[in-house]
Formats: sequence, C-alpha cells, structure tokens
Amino acid sequence: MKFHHIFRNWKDICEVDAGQVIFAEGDPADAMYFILSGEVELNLGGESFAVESSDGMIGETALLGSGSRSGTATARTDARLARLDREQLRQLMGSDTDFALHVMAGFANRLRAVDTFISTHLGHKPRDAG
Amino acid sequence: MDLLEIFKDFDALERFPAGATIIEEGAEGNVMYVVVEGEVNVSLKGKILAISKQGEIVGEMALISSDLRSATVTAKTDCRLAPIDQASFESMLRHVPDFSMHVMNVLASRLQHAYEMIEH
Repeated sequence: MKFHHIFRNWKDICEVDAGQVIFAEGDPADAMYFILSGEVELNLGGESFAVESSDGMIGETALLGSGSRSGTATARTDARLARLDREQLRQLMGSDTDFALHVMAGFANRLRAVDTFISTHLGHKPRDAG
Repeated sequence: MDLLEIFKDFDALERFPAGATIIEEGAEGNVMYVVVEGEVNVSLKGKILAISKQGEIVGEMALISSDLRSATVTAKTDCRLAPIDQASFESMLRHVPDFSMHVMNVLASRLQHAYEMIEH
C-alpha cells in the first residue's frame, strides 16, 4: 500500500473480477498496470510465472512503446489496477524518486525471474543487451 | 542519453583483461559499471544471457534492489569500465531525470529480449 497515494485521483482505474483476463499473449502492449488491490497471475506459454499483488506491476514491457504482450495476465482475485502509459510513468518517476526506484526494483525482479527461467530451461543462446 | 559521452573521460576507469571476472553471481554488489571500451559477457549458471557493449550499463540491478548479484559479468575483450557506486547512482536518479528513464529502457529492453528467448 506504499504508493497508493500517487493514484488517489487517478483517472484510468480498472476494476477486474476474479478469473478475468487483463491482457493476453500477443495483444498489443500499450500500457502497464500498477496493482492497487488483489492478485494477478502472469503466465508464460501456459506456465504460471509470477503472481503480483498490491504495489506490484504487470505489463511493464509496454514501456518500450511498441510490441506485443509476452504473456497472459489473469486476475486471481477481484482486483483494482491503475493503468499507465509510457508518458504517465515518465512523469510519475520524474516527480517521485522512491516510486522510480520501486518500479525499477519491480523490473529488476522480473528480469531475475526470467533470466533464471532461461538459464534453467534453455540453451545458452545469448540475447542482445539492448 | 549517451552514457559513453558522459563517462569516457572519467578519471577512475577500471581496466579488465579479456577473460577476467568483473562481477560474480551470488556475491554482494554495491557498484555498477558503464562499459567505456570493449565488450563484456553477462551469464548465469554458465549460460550467456547477453553481451554488453560500449555505452551500456551492467550491474545496476544490485543497486536497484539491494540484492545479491543476479549474474556473472566477464570481460569478453580487454575492456575499460566506469564504476558508479550506490550514492552516485541515486544522485544521478534524483538529479538527472533522463537517467532513470534510461535505466528503465535498458531493463525493459532486456526483459523483452529475455521473453523472446523463451518464445523461440
């Protein structure tokens, strides 16, 4: 609940029911979501990959501004989400360094999980650091 | 944001010969690096995940989430790196607005490429 104050008057709030698909693999990645309440499960190729709850984020690769969803996000419980596009995130991060660090930590944790998945499941084909 | 331009004349550049270990997975970490010259391999459990080149950053994840090193970084070629410690990193985040978005873009790109590795 640490960053909820940022979204107190947010215009773009989504309320989803348990079981609802928030976005599906292959959908255009146009925004990310900050979780205000509830739990959301991320699936990669049908395999459960992560569960995010309050103060967590999903859909963060949308920050690159283009591309499609790599996985499917499904609400495990009724949930309340704040939807953010790239520009909105840039403004929030610019005005709140603690929030910027929190978002970065979320990215870093996701990257750790994906890298671990790669190193345990796949061969050693290198990816471009970008 | 051109980190190479910012750091290429840095006084405290560290040199590593090809093959040297720069960062070791599982160790504690309190410094990140900008690659000023050369290339480094980023690996986990012996599997190469990425190659970082001139102007790119490595090791920032341990500074972001105060955690152990998430990967091993070794010099692919002879290289020179600019070290940035925790205090300097946070100072750059606070005072250089483009820097936080730059780090975000780096992480987002890596994440997207990592997802692509899984898909293919």
